[in-house]
This record gives sequence, C-alpha cells and structure tokens, in this order.
Amino acid sequence: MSGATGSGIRYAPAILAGKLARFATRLRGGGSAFPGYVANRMAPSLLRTLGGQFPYGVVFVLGSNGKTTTTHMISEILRAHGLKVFTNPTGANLPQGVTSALLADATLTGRVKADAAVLEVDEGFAAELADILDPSVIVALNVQVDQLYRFYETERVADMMLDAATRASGLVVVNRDDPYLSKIDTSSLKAPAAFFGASTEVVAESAHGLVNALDTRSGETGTRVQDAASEVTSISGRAVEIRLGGQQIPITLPARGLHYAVDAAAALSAAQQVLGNRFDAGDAIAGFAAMAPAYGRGELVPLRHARGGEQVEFVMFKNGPSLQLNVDALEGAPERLLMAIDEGTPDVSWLYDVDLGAFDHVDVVTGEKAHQIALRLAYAGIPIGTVEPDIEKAVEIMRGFAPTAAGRQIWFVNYELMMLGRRILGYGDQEVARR
Amino acid sequence: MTTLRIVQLYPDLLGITGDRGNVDVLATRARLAGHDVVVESVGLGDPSPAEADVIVIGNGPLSAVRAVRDDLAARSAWLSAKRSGGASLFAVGGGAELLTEGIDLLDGTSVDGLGMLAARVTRTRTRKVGYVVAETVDGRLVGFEDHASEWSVPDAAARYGRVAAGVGGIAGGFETVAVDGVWATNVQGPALPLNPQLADAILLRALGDAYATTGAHEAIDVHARAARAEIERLAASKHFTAIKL
Ligand SMILES: [Zn+2]
Repeated sequence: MSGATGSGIRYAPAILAGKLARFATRLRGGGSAFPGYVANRMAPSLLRTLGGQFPYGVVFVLGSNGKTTTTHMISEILRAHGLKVFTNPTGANLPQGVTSALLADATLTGRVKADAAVLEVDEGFAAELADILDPSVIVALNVQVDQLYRFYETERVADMMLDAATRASGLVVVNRDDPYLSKIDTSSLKAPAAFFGASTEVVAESAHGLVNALDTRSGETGTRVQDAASEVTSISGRAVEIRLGGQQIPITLPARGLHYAVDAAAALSAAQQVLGNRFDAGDAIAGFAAMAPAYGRGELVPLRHARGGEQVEFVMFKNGPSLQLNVDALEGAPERLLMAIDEGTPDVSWLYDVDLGAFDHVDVVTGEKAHQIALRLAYAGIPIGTVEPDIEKAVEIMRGFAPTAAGRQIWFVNYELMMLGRRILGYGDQEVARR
Repeated sequence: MTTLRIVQLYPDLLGITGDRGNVDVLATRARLAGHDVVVESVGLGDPSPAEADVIVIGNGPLSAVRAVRDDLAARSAWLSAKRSGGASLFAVGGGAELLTEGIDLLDGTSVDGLGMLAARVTRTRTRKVGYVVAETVDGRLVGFEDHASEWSVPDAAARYGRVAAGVGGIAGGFETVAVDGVWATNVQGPALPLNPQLADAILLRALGDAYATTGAHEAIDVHARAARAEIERLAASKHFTAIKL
C-alpha cells in the first residue's frame, strides 16, 4: 500500500515524540498543533508517508464557510458505506494540525488504519498540503468575504482554492453558484470538474440568496452558467432533495439552512467519486439520517444539567455570510436568544452588512464585543434585554429564564465563545465531538 | 423638517467592511433629529442624482477600486458641485483613495485618483491591522484599521486625527483627512457607529442648525461609549500581526 512498511521504524522516534507532546498538550487542557510541529521537525517526510496509505485516497475540503460541516458529511456518507474514515478535528486545518491529527491515529511504525482521509484544509495552506498529501478529490465550497485582516482581498482566497484544485488527481468538486469558482479554468486541472449548486427556485426562496462574494476583477460580477452534476432541488426545513446525476436523493440535514443543503450536494458528489461503483444512494441517505450536527452547527446541548429539559441550539458564525445564512434559516424570531462575540473576531464591521430583521429582540448580548453587538442592534431598533460582557454571567441569566414553549433557546456565537459556552454547559471536549 | 438625501456610491463593489452601517448611522441619526431621509444607491453607469446632501463611498479590494475608477472620475464635476453647495462627502478605504491624486502600487504602476484631496497614497508591503485611536477636534476617533497603504498629506491642517494608539493611515502618525466637507478615513468598525461625534460633524455640515441630537440619540450612544471604552482599553494592550501567506 505504501513504502511505510519498510521504513516504519525510521519514524518511530518522531511519532513517539509527537504522541508524547500531544499527551502533554491534552493534560494542559486543549487541542494544539504543537505535537505536529514536534513530529514534522523530527521527520519532515512523515506527513507524506502518513497521508500516502489510504486505499480510497484523500479528500480536501476548502471554502470560506462550511468546511467542517462538509467534511463531516462526506465522512459520514463514507462510513455508512462501511469505510473506516480518518478526519481532522474541526479547526485543526493548518499543516501542523493535520499532522497532529494523523499522529493521534498512527501506530509507532507510521501506519494509519483507515480506508480514506477526509480533511478540512485552510485555504492559505491548501496547495502546499496538496503537494504533500496528493488528494484525489478537492472540494471548493465557496468564496465569501472572510477574515480580510488575514487574507487581505477575497479574490486572493479564490486564487488559493483554484490553485489547490489543479492538484486533484480524481475530481474537483466546485460550486457553480459562486462567482469566482464558477469561472474555474478546467483546462488548468489534471482532474475533471463536477459542479454542484442549488436550483434557481431554491436560491430565490432564501431571503438573501447564497451570499457568495461578487467577482470584482473579471468584469462579470456574477456567475458563469455551468451544469450541475449535483443540485439541491427542494428544501423544506431539514428535508432536502438533491439530484445527483440521474438520481433524486431525499435526505434529512443535520441542521436547517440552505448553506447546509448546498454543502450536502457537494458532499454527495465527493463521496460518489471516492466510492466509485460502491456508491449507493440508500447508504448515503442512511448516513445523513444518522448524522449529528457538526460541532456547534445547529448542535443541541442541555441548558441545565438535566438531559430532558431545556436545550440550547448553538449557531456558530465566523463572518457576515455565515451569520446571514443562519439568520435566514430561522423558522420565526427566536423566543430566547443570546448573541456572543469575543476578541477571536477582531473586526466586526460586517455586522452592519447582515440583515438581522428576523430577530424581534435579543435577550442577552455577551463576550468582549458585547457593546459592539448592542450598538449594532440599537441602530437596527432591535430591543436588547441585557448587555453582559462576561459569558459566565450571561449563561446564568439565560438559565434563569422561564422555559420556552419550544423547549429551546438559540445562542448565536462566534467560534471561541461556542467553545467556551459549551464548556460552561459541561460539553467542552472538541475532539470527542468529532470522533 | 427637511429631507436629507444620502447617496451611497457603488454599494456592491465598495461595501465590504460594513459600509452600509455608515449609511445607516447617518440616516438613523438624521431621522431621530426629526428629518425625513432618502437613501439612494448609485452603481456603475447610473445617473448622478440631482440632489445629494451626503455622499458615501465605501471600501473594497483593489480590483473593485479599478472597476469603479473611470465611472467615479466621470462624476468628478458632480461631486465638486455638491461639495461646494454644502454637501458632505464621507469615504472609506479603497473608495477614499480614489479621491486623492493617485495610488502608487507595489508593482510600480499607479491608479490615477480624482485629485479632490491634496494627498497621495502608496500601497505598502506591510499591512496595518488592529485597533486605532486618534485625537481630533471632534473628540477621540476610535475603530479598527486593516489596510496596506500609507497616505502622504502635506497640508497639516487637512490631517484630522493624531494617532494615540495603533498606527494610522497617514505618514507621520495621523489618521483621516478632513477638509472642506470631505472626510476620508481608514477607520473601520465601521467608523460612524463607533464615532457618533464624527457622524454628527458630517450631518451638521449637511443640515446646519437644523440638526440637533436628542434623548433618542443618547439611548444609542450609551452603547457606543461602552464599545469605545473597550476599544481604547484594547488599543493600548493588544497587538495584531497580519499572517503572511
Ligand atoms: Zn426573549
């Protein structure tokens, strides 16, 4: 299967050092890319060896929004077909993080016992990692205005994804409803491209459409028309129909929202490519039916310790488009709503580009950016219950309310406060959540 | 009561850093002061409105700055006429750079500006990212800066803020140009929600004595004061490094 067998012993010290570093990191209480750093320093070719031994190959998932959800969906579809899948924990999508995750599963001789690897990869490192891990399938989800302080200009992110896509050996799964990605130069690719998307009717039903970035450089700001190999044809709550090739596949999403439906169309296309003639629509449907929401994406966690009582629905956002798509997916104004942003999201200018008209009030705003959220809501004329920057106190306020009719509060949170909020509620371990 | 006409230029192409928020703040504050407000969006090729009391130009990537350049230059006489007639012009980031004499790019080429401001912009290899605080005649200007540019503004009187924390967009430790009804800034957050004093200066120019704040403004401004205090605290202690890719 690879050269790992003969050269395995060569890696033992590096893997052992990585595993020990990982153990130490976990004792300190947190996931970290540090173990991967230790191992990569000791054996630079380790990552290539670890990545080269999956009989069903490696899948990369790239995109401004939806990487974690789509990675989770592809993994679960493959598992429903009986494959053993290796995947990186949410957020561990830089090279060191991917190495750390592989180390956790590797034997001391450098073997990872899985049939396929499905990895979410940061756009900034996608091409570099593709040169090492040789992905067979690369999924390019979307290009949205995101982390400008890091990426500078959105078209740079598009180029990073398009550049990485040229490395796929089997298939490039690409969004035809994205202005930049729909214009992918297929002649630059080694592999064929398969487009995914949502039908015009489905997009029209969404209050603000898909919120992908306009193409400001080609002279044509919109998309180029492409046929979709995988298309969302209807949505009703979590019930979605996807046309994959000639088949109509009815699935149940792990959480509401057009963005999740589009992610599912991409996931089905990628999984079909990985599985070849082993792909079975019935197994894929069963995979979706058994799927729990990805970490913090529509996930339900008990508000108080009792399992049967009031639940918290975590809705994580990291930028304007993800907030808008999650607001648009609401079924009516939330009865009890908390909104939280901390310094993990340094610039919140984009809050003013999001239409929050679906909220009729917000009960508690919290996090270091609580006053900035309150200011945004005040200009929108949306009543605020309490401004409480301390999230522990904010959680106590939310726990003090009378139960909701729906049995569920909704907490809109950025990534860091999703983690902290889960921990305060007693559901803190990220890596357990993905395994 | 008068009607305030706000024109936002190129909201789709130059509108990536909450620029609608700046428009919304001007509209809301004018309404709370008892005025009717009309907000009009103008895109590439659209006619310039006959009436305009406040004109807002937002921020966008260099490709968008290039895309609107000729269209904006064709509105130069209209912009000047509105300005001399008492209108306010508020511009942010890439849109603001087009009001200068020109933008010198890293590849040695440049983009010609409209020359409304006696200033020139150089795009820089290092990016300035983080909180910024500057002392101005209207009070402290606070917000977030995220740009790879340095403005050269020879006329000291045109420099609106002296930077107290952060870096600022103007060589020598300054931020924001303010001259004869034109405000050009690199401050995000976006700028006007966090800086009601600047929003009020823009509205006072456009509306004159007919603009006065009320208790309803104060109900919003309590949140702005608290957000500003938090930013001033962080600006003194927190430093960002843009990740080089
Ligand atoms: Zn409530």
